[in-house]
Amino acid sequence: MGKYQVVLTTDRTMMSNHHGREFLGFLATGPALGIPEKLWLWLAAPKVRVDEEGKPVEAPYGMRKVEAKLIEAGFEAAIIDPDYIHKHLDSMKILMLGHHDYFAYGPPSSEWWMITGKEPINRISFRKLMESSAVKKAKEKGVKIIAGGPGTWQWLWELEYWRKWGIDLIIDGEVEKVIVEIVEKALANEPLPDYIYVGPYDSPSIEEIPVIRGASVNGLVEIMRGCPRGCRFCPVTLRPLKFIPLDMIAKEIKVNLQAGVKGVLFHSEDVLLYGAEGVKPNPEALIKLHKLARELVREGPIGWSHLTLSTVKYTEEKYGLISKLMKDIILVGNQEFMGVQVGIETGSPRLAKIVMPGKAAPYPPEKWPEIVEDAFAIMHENYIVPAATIILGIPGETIDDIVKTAELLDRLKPYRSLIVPMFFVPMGVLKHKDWFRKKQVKPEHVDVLLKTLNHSMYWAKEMMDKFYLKGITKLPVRLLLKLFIRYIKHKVEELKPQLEELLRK
Amino acid sequence: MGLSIEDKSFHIVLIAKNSVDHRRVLDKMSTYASLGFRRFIIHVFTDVEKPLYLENMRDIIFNNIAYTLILKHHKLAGENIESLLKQLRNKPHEVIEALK
Repeated sequence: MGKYQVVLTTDRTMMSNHHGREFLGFLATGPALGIPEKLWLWLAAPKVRVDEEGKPVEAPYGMRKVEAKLIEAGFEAAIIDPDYIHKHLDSMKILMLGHHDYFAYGPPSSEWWMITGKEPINRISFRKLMESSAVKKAKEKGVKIIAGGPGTWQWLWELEYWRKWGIDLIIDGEVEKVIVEIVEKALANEPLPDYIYVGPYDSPSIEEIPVIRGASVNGLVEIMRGCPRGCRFCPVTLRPLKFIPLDMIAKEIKVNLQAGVKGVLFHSEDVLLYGAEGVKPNPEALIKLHKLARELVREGPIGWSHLTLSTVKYTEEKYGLISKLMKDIILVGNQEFMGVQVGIETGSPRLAKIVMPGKAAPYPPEKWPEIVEDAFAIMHENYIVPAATIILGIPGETIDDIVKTAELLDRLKPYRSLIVPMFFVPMGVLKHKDWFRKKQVKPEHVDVLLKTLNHSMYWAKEMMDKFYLKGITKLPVRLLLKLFIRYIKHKVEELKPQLEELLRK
Repeated sequence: MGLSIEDKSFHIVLIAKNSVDHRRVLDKMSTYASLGFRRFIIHVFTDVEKPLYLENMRDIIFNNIAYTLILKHHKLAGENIESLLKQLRNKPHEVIEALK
């Protein structure tokens, strides 16, 4: 017999700790290649530990925030693993969904889909959740379904599914200010709007953001929201910038540690801008943040979610702070490296200047390729492994821009990193622009795709040999990944001559 | 009673038969934003059932990033429009027929 009026859930590709390695979660954005779908799903997103009610030990951070807000307001609310929703059918009045990429339209799912012509696993997995008997029964008994999260915009392209599954409300943006009232209205059976976009004016204050009540996936803790750089393709930059105070960060780290998570993964669009004024880092704030984390997690890993390459260069060249943080605080004990997501996006200074003039700051956008190269060298020396994105098909892109990106990729060869190509998906200020279409694929794009693939395959193998997924318990995952890399290499060699034609089909 | 996020909103009553001229709606939003409004509610009167009517609203939604935006569906009928206009009597609103 369940007790929760409000159940928050998502599909397996999101409800997982990805074997403790967030990068593996990206496999869920592609279709199963060379191995059976079930095995692929296990590799990308194994099931999480749950308690007797089906509450996962670790759950996506954004959903943890909503859960905390609702518990704080006095509701019986909990995140429930998708396999255990049926246990709560008798008490459930509202089912809340969260996702980064409901229908695989986001990057890099959409390019995997385009390249392989096969539906990505995350889309299949979400559809299976929505068509599961538990969700169907919930809807039949009048449960209201509310969907939110960063992938919310995709519902506007899937209105048939919206209708078929009986979604009552889609809410986009930061919801802390509004979610309690929405739940009150839904429980009172009052009518809800169909769609809400929470604009910057209704962004919550720090005081309105709750401390999570349960552990987040791999100890992720938000340290700031928003970004001052103003890149035109990025939705995060639209949010007002705010820094989460150290005491709140400490509380969340403790919640994670108490649940058995060993480390902390700082989340920000640019971790090095914590406490900064504008785009210049604040060394004192960063040292305090990392010392606090090290004191709390002791031997556990400290991670960063995202960095901006210009900040990496500036922070090291001006203050020597990257090497100081890495040597003195982060790479102590068992930690040998740190993975982080960064955006190269383009090797063309011209395009950088038009689309992301703030990304190079405090350097001029004309210097963008040098900034990228210098930052990669700094990260390589300090055992920071970037998973970098490049975007193909940005509106206004010329052949020369693509060639410049290819040239930059050649210069990045010596640096330990994964580079992932993405096709332009309209987001942020550019979200009204057209998507990059198959027919727009040019030979130069294919050249860039192959360069990124070769680069990433080389370094992925090297990292797995040296320090990624070490230990006997990770052996099956490591072996499967190695097999997968071998399969992809073989497949690409086989298809190379007709690759351009295949992409355009 | 609406949500408190609906307070101080500007209400746009949109009569949407087939495709909608999104530019006209966005221009109206900009005009009223210049008067200080940061929240907009679009009451969409249409024959297209929900949520399918949102296909015609997509361009409005995707072109807006600055303001809180709430969309509500209403069946296109004279009495429904009249009833809503009565409710909006003391609230800032404008009726738009933004047809292409």
